[in-house]
Amino acid sequence: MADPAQDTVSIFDPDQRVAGRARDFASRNVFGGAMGPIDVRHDVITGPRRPLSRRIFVLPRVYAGVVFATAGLGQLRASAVWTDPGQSWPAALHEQLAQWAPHTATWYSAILTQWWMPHADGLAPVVAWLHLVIGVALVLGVATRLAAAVAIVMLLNYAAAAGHTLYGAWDTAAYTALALTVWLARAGREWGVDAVLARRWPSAGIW
Amino acid sequence: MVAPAPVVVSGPQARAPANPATVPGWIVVPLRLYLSTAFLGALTNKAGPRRWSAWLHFMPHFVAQLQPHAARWYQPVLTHIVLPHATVFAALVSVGEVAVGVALLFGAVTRLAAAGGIMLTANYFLLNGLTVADVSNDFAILIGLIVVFLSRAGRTLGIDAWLARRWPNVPLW
Repeated sequence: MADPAQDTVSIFDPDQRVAGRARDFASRNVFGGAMGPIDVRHDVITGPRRPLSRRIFVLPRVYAGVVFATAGLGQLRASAVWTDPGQSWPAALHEQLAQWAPHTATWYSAILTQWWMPHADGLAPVVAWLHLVIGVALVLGVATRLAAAVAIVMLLNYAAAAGHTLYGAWDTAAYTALALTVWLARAGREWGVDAVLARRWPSAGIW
Repeated sequence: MVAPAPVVVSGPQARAPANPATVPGWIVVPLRLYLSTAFLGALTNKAGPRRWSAWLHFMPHFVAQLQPHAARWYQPVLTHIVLPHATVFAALVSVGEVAVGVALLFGAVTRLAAAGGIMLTANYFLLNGLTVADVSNDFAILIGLIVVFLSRAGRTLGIDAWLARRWPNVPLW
């Protein structure tokens, strides 16, 4: 069986001289090699293509997944984000959209008032199930890029509806940044089901 | 001294593996830049003489208001350490946010900046008394900062690339 570390490093360092030092460093660093071949000289030499261990990106993937799944589960049980005690989830969604309306981005205002608000009752279960499915997919690392892409689309809609910017400490912006990082890193291919799927279908864009 | 002959890799070995265990370093740059805006954006209510004095006055009230909701073990920290020295902490928070934001923006001493940012956001998170599974911009930012710290994000398209070339073993970048 091929040595994965050697395979990986050979993309950036065909003559393997730097890779050898990277492996030496990885074997004695504080993570006991768990974080992959991160070598300071290798970092500088390869510039923007400096290889990073994909394992780092499992953390934002699982965290975002837990938050999405918890939100979805709570919404299906009418006991979580945006719901007051005793309030149904569709009623809570409608109330939230109405609260956002005065702050909505100008270009999004018509979409919110003419599309989302009149259909809030029908949308509520769809939103809740999407949260749950995205969350489970991210936690398990199944079709991670697809899940992250759908999460980004939903978060961009929330941000536009609430009048948030994509910079600053808004929760929508923060989760969008994490989801984008997960998407870029194809984070499900490490400690996720996508590792198996990628071996079978390596060119698919959804993991 | 004779230089070692380069090894020519061809055939199947030259092809990229289907599922490499690594990703290119540039992918953490958007996250690093976003996090810098999160910290610099927090200055909107603190920059300038009038806003600064308003912030020093506002911060103790804000902390006292949130104290009942804070994590139980964190409440004595607020009562005995933060609130009696609220003006000092208000100033430290503002200066810390600027320093972290600027350092992340330019990718300079990024690991130190990320560690400082983690400390700040951990305190904000504990003050709000939320759980890890709750929707929280503070905890999302904290996770992003951990990624920036582990990935040494300033070494890609940042000043840390030069610092690492000169002082490769310093863990601050």
